[in-house]
Amino acid sequence: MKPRITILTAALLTGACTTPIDYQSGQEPELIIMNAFLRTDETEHTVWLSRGQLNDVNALPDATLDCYVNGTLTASGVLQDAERYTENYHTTACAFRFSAKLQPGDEVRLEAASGELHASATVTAPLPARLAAVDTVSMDSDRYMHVLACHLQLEDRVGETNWYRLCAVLDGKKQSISDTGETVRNESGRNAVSFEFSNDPILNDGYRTQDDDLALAESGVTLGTGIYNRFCSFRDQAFADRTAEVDIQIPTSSLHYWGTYNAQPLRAFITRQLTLRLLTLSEETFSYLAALNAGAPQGYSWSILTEPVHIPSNVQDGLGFVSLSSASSVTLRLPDVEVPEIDVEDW
Amino acid sequence: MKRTQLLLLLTLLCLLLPARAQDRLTTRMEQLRGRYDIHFIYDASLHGLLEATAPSRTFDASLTLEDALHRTFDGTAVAWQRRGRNVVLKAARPAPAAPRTRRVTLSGHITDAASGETLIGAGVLSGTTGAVTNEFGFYSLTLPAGKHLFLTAYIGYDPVRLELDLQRDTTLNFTLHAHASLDAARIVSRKDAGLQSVHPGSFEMPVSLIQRTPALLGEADVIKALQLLPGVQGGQEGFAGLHVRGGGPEENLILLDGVPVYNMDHILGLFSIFQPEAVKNVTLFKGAFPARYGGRISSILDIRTNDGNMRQTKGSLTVGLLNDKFHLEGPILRDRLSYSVSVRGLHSILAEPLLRILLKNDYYNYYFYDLNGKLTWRAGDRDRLYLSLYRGTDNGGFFTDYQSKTDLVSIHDTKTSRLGATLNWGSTVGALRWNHIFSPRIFANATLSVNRYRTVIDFSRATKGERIGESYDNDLRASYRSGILDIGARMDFDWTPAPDHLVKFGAEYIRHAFRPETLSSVTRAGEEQTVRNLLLGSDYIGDDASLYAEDNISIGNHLSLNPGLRLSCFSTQGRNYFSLQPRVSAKFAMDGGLSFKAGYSRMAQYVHLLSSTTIALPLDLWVPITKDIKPVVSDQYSLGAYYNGLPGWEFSLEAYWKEMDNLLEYKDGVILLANSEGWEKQVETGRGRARGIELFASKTTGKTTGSLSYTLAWSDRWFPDGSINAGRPFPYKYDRRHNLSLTLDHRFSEKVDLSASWVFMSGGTLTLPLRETAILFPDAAGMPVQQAPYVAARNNYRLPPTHRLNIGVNLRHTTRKGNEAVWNISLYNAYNAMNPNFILYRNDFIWGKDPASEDSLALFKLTVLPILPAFSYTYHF
Repeated sequence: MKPRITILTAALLTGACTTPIDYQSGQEPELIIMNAFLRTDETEHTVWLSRGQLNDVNALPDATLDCYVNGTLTASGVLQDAERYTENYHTTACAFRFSAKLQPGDEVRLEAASGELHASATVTAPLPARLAAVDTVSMDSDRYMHVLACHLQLEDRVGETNWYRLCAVLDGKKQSISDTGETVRNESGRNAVSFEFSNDPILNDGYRTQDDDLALAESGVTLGTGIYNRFCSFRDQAFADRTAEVDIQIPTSSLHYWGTYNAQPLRAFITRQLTLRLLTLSEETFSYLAALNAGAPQGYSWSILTEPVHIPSNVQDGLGFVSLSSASSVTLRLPDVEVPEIDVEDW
Repeated sequence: MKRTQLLLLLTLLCLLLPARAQDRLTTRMEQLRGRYDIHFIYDASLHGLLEATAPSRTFDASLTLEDALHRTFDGTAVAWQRRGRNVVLKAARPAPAAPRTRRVTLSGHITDAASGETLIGAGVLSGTTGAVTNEFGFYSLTLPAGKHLFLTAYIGYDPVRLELDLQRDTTLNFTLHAHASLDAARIVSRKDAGLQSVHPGSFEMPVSLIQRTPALLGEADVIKALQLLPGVQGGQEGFAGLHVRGGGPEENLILLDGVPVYNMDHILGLFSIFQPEAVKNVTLFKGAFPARYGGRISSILDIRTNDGNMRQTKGSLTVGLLNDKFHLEGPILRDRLSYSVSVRGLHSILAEPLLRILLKNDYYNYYFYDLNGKLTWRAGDRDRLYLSLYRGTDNGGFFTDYQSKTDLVSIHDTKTSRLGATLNWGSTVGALRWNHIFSPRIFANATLSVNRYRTVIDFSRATKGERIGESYDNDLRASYRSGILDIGARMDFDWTPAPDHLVKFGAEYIRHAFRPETLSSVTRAGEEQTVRNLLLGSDYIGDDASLYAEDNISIGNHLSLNPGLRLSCFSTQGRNYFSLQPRVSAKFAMDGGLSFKAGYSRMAQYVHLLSSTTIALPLDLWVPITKDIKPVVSDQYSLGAYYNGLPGWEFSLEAYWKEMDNLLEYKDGVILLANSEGWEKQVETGRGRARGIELFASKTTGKTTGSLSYTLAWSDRWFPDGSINAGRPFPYKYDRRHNLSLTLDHRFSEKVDLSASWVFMSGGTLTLPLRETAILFPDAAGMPVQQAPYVAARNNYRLPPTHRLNIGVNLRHTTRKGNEAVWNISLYNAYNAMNPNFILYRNDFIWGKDPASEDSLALFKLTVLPILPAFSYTYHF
């Protein structure tokens, strides 16, 4: 290691000279930034649009968005929460939503425009792989008090290199009932669910594991690289052209559906569905998620102590990333929960 | 009457006419020698024929040399062949001499007459057969028994001619006298490096040229002089890095008396560790590497130090603006045992003890030093032993005391703290060598060596105070260590089985012990103490063994070949890596000074140097290959055309193509401090490609000498697995498209000479976010989009080019005691070009501020080497 503090000190002493470098000349002063994670198993799609200046990014509420599927204009995006975007409101991006049925194999082109700015992205939906749930069991784990352990079966697509991502969502419905037995309120919601997978070599795909962290902690080493597989994205190298079985653990604490917190403490019935999805990604999307993993320890900011992270962009005449993945899913019905009425004083 | 008058007239005319009928070839040869500054080389048996033969036609001083030679020898019984400034003569029709089937060998050492110092690369020629001395000044030449005229020459020395009747193997040591002119005759035969050698991309740099090349603060520097050659560039502007043909700094095998060194510079590259006073010979191979070298893929830099004057004690003392230097060498036993010591250090090293006493409570200092020492023992005619030592280190440190007081309503705190840090990095290299001459045809060298490179940084903070009525006493000490220890043994043989063959073969073993990084801290609060290992680098042990063989073959008068093979094995962590490395070079020399060369070499490298792509704070780390990280391998092809038919000039045009595999780079997002633990997971292996064209022209004779070099080059990297730059090729950090150097040296008189050098270089590359973007997180609650800096690609930004003019003047005079003294006055960066020596970043993102008015990431070039005058005074005794 050759620290440069001494030479910088010497530089000051010898009358060093600093001159700014105009490194941004030649860059477009403004462009459109477009981001979206599209999936074939959804019909409602969200695209995030921003105005990218050299050193700042802001929402682009006055943009237009069109979606072409296989060359045909299929839908136009509608700005969500339009009333928010006033002159004094600063946010990084605004959401445009459109409805479209996307199939594996479809070529999707998104086109955004705002004044003289134009940007577009073209992506193709890969063909899906197969996911099956083999077994689930509730158990205690080393890290969490109580987990739902899921043993899953993945079937790779034969004859090609594939990239995948495993994710989970919890759909909950809560029926609140009054003293008289009438239904006061029905609510439903969807939350993404995080799960532990780092000990599975296929899912973790070579990233740091819990065991790595424990070994370091035991030796007293506190500095680590901090680059983990945050999105459970993985390649098919370990199970190419065949079936693999993988394990994940979902903390039961993340499987609770609370509904509206500030509602009255009524008796309620909660039904839950856990959906595990195997997304088949493009190689580009896999690289994008890998870049997000790499940039996480530094909070996606630039530092001279960190090797810079190149985040891919597939938007022409602009920046950003549009992804289209195909999904294969397994849905598990979780035990219903009856929530007893709670005294107001206790609540 | 008329007939008598005519006869008288004819007789008178015969007397008055130039004595053409009395011209002999020997006379004509003297005229040609004086007119064209050439040398005639011929076997002694030809002398009688030259005396007896008249030139074919008259000689006119206005003719070119070629025409004059044609006019002299065409039609006679003497055939001639021109080789640069030498003209080789032989009988056109073989004389019916007695058959010479018996061969004898002439061998020995060539040394400097004044000091006894062996000369490396000096030549001995007889007719068209010749040999050059090896790294230890030994030569061996096998010839038919009989009379021979030998010519011995070396650059900077007067040639020696000697006629001998060889009837048996003979040992003959030559001593040469130094000549003031640089342009003494150079024998062409089996040179190891340079235009005359069989290897393309090789260069032998005279020490005198290094000493005359103006450099930073008047300090002649070996590495800075090499940076003026085509295909060689420094890393950062003004620093002594070495990047050869698109390779990294770790890809150079730098040998100090045959021992590889890891650290070759001080003050992070401002000066190299090599003191010109201690250096005897510098040889650089950029490609087509001989098989006796291995372990790095881009270049071989072989530096040999002085053995020490065997005859008399000599030395020099230099006082400069920044450095002081002292050199002393002499005999302990005349012609048997000698020593050589060279020391160099910053002025501040002399002030170190005083500063520690005077600045006890507020101490700071920085210095470096180099110490080269050597003992040479000529144990006998067949044996020589050398013990050499190098120690060089950079040291810096500071200690400061400060007090603080906090006086608030609820907190009353008085505190005294002592803060300090020391930095130390450097190398210690030791070697014991034994030369033995088994026979006139077999020379051997055995070497034992040890090399330690270490970096130590210590930080401490001690705090005592009183807080809300309670006293406390805490301290924190942190220590960073990194290092390499090599222990090695090597055996080399030079064997001359036949006149047209010089076979070199041998074996080498090095045991490497790497400790990439450890960082630990001890925190004491009162009686309680906590030890933490922040970084705990594992030790890596590697066993590096190799065998090699090469043959330097002369086929006829035009073709030379150097085929070779190197087999190496590196064993680490239970895994063995074998590498078979073929090497071949070929040279075809045409008449008139034109020659062509071609070469191929495969190289393997078992160590890496990890460095960041961000320039401002790189943290370089030497790491070995492991059971999971394979050796770096390269294949390099070279082709060149050379011309030295114009007296005093040399021209070369070379092209190269290099493919590299298993290169390492940090992955995106790696935190550069935390590398020791699991560093293998922080890097990725990939490929590289470098190619270029190099043009070089030099004038080596006359009062004005100099050179011009130009390189057009590309160097890329590619990591196809996608973890770096999304799997796309990107330019290497030091990919510089154009590199131009011009040097001039003019000798006004024996007392005054002026040197100048001008360099121009395209900018290197940086990885830089050129703007901001927005990134989307999957499955994120709330606002899933975040602003982030956008880095389009690795090494995406190219810095502006750099250029610089250095000028130096040497004023020599003789002191009253008859010793030489030299004033050197130099001007570095004479027209004050604001080149970027460092790049600084400032991140000034301020919430709410108008983004159009101020950059969020500002980039600055820091110029620490503006126009810098310097002087030094050297006294020789």
